[in-house]
Amino acid sequence: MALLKDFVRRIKYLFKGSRLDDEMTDEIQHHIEFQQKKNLEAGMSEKEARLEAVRRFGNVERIKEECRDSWGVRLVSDLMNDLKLSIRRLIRNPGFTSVAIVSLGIAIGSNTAVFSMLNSILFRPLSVSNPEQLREINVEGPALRNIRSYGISNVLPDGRKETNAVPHSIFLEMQRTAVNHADVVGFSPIDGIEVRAHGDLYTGSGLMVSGNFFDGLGVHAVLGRTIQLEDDRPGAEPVAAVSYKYWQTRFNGDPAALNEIVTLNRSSFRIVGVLPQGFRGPRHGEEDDLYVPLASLPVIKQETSSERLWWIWIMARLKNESSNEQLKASLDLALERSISPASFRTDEGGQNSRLRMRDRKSMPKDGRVLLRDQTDQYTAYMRSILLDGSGGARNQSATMAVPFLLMLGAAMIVLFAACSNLAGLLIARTVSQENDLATRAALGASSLRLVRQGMTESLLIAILGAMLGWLLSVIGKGLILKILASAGQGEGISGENDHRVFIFTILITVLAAVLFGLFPSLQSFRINLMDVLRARTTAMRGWVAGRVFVALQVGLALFLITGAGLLLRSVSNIQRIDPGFDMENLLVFQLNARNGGYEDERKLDLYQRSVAAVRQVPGVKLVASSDMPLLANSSRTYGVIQAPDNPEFMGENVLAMSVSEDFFGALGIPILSGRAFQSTDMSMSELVVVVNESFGRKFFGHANPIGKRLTQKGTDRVFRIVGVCADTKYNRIKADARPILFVPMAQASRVGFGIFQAWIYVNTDLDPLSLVPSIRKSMATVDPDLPLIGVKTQLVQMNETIFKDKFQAKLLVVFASLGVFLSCIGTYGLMSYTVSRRTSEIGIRKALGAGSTEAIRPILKSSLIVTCIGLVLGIVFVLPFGNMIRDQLYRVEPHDPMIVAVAMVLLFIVSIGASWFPSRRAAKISPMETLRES
Amino acid sequence: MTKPFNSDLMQGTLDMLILRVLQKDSLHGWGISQRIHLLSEDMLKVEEGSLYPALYRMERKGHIRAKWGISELNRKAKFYEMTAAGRKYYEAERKNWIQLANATALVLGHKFS
Repeated sequence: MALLKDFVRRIKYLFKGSRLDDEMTDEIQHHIEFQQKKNLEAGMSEKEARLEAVRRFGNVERIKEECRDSWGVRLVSDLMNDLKLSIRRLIRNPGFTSVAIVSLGIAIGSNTAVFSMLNSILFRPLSVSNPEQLREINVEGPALRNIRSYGISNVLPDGRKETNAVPHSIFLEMQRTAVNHADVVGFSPIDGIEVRAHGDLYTGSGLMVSGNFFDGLGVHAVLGRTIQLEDDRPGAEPVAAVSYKYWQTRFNGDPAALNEIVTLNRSSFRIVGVLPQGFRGPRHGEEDDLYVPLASLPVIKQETSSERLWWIWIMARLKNESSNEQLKASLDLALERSISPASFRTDEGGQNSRLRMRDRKSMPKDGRVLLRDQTDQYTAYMRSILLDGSGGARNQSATMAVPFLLMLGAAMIVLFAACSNLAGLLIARTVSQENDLATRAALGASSLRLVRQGMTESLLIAILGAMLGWLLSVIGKGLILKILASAGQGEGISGENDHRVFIFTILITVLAAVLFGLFPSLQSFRINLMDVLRARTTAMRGWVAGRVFVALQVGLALFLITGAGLLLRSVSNIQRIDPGFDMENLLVFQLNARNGGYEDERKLDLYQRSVAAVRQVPGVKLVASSDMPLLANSSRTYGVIQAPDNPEFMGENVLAMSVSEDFFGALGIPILSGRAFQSTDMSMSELVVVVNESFGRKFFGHANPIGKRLTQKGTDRVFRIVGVCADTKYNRIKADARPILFVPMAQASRVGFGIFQAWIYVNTDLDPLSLVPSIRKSMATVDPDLPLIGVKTQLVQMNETIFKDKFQAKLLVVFASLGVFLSCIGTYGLMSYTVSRRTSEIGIRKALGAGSTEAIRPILKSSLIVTCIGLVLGIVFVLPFGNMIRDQLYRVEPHDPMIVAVAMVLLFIVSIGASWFPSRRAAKISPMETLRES
Repeated sequence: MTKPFNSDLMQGTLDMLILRVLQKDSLHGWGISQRIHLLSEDMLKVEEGSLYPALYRMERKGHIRAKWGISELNRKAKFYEMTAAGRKYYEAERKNWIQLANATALVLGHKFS
């Protein structure tokens, strides 16, 4: 209580200090008047009486100060004084002040921006209760390369394959076996679905979910109800739940949205509920608007669920008393029980690609062996993988981790550089102010007072730096989000600053500021006043520390520049890759016949009519179609292909694609020998193929492949090679050329490709995007309701796949620039300090006849030494850490000597530049002045 | 008549004396110093340099409180008065002091009347 009263009084003093002071003066005056009166009564003259009274009272100011002291407001008034003095000192040294504040601002800003974003990408949990109980479930096994999947599959570094989707039968079995340990829920994304609501037609995204999905995740409707078990049955009324955001944007938050009908791909669903705000769906980094039961697969995708279709993504909520091991064991049991050879692709090659020797070797010996059917090893070695599902299903953690670590490291380096910069500056400055400190100490300032003064100044800098940092982080994040948005990415990344991150970075910088602000002023305890006052040249305390900091900064900057250089080189290498076909004059879009309700052979007909229709558009040169996109990270594997004419060759799986007649012409892929496809390659005529160069080399060595026959193992299909085309990229721009087999679209279904979607390629000499309106008009004559999906140029399509590389490089360039900038400031600060310390030395040199250049030399020399030490340190850093980013690089060695050399030269020049201005000051030193000063 | 003490009184003692003179009346600073002077039969003289800091300190401790009033000089002045806490403190201190003084006197071979 007393403490509180004290506190209140101090605060009051802060605001009413001057009034209290007036009262005090008044009271003292009153006392003196009494004394005066008494003196008058004792017979003194008026003047005498007054003077005696004042003299008798003593030192008014000292007494007032003592009163303030006993009143307990001394601390406050001191603090105000400290603050005033600090502000004055900061204003008097604008160079030091701005450098310190900007350094801190950059570090705090960049760290806050980057970490906040990473946080929202990496660690933000699903907005459900107890997200830590959630698990994402993947399955792994060598046979998974032969499945038809709606999920995401990864090839693990050791060659095994994992996927996050399972057939419905396995999902149900998992629910049953794991019932005691977890609620297993399933969902399947339906991205790019055509939605009609309120008469609007647009492309939406949503999920098919299992009946226990919402209850299992613990998501409850804010309006109406969620999807329940009885909704997820064949024949149940088709119902949908919608996200809060969807409800707000499409229905303006009107409760009448319940029972409204939305049409998904021409089937109607009744809205039965609105999900809570903040629930964005179970997929990490994605946002889903519409939720319908899994049972609606047939009406949404015109497909029936079967053992062959791996389409259900699984997550589980672990029960309180259960362990990961128990859940995994029960899931593995489910796999063992329910998996069957029918789940794997066998139609294309009959018995088709059995596990090859390589796969057998890569299998772990201690692995779970499942030998339900000894004759078919597809089912062997299927196991479940449990992943942390608190952030939702992400299925990309492994690939994303390294770039994020890289950014994290870069941001930390910048933070460190800023802190050490500040430290160097503060140390250098306080040491150079030893005179000032000593003088103040001599005039009676207590050591504690001096320390407090130093701290106040550091804190002030830290606070201003934090404010600037906040501003920079907001601006920086806006920029990053803009870049992401321009590439169609970054949805779901929070634009908000993460306060924890902000506070964390501030704490670090404040700690640095206080520590290094404290360190020099602590020395004031040890300063021998007379020493300092007598001789101006004191020991070069702090100088060594300053050099170490600058050297470290140079080293770290080298690390960052080299990293940025490597990534830039890598991106430019990627962009210079010749995909083997024309990308700039090529417009590409996707058609999905299912969206128009087309079936079977009518789909092929639709695609052929579409090609013909687009060809009529003026300005269009050639139009082609294929069943797979190019450079979009997806591919079709076909096999096993053998060459009877070359019996030594065992045969292998190849990449394959069905294409229309003008494909090679439209994409500008040269036919090296033989011919391209013609209209005579009909569905019932002889099976013909075009292969690429790599294919020919692999299958036939130096022999000419034209006219050679190919067979498919396990089927009686025989293909004749009619043409050889140049090598092209297929799914990834970074991949090396691989054998590709092209079959004519007309024969696609006969060779077991099936017809699903088609990609239409339009070759033109005009700006491809300018043709879009007329292409749409022309396509409307084919089917006015058929949506054109993902209309873009092939170049844009390719850039989307390397977006991550580019983004990463850009970000690191920013960090490297910040690092260089900070090390520049550091060098500049150190050199300025050095010059000021050595002013008299330089003056004496000049007085003894040294020219300006000779006077500068020692300054530049010391700068060079520090820089060189830094570069050596940098190389020590760069070499071992280079390997960390090896996987991020395309055709660049992590220690590319050119890049390292360029980075070193760059830093060297920059360092010299930074020490140039201080050196100029040294050159201008007048010998007489310096001698007089000392 | 002996020479008045001009030396600084011990802090606790000054507090006690101030409280003593404030026991019945509320007084301003000048009044307090005069009253102590008077009560000590001109033996004690309170230095202004000690009086005012002591008053501020005591006010902070809550032993006295200040009020504005009109002084004999017909002008506004700060009057101090004793608080309940001050009275309690005074009684305790007084007892202590008398015990100490008696004990000291005993040792010095003198007995108070």
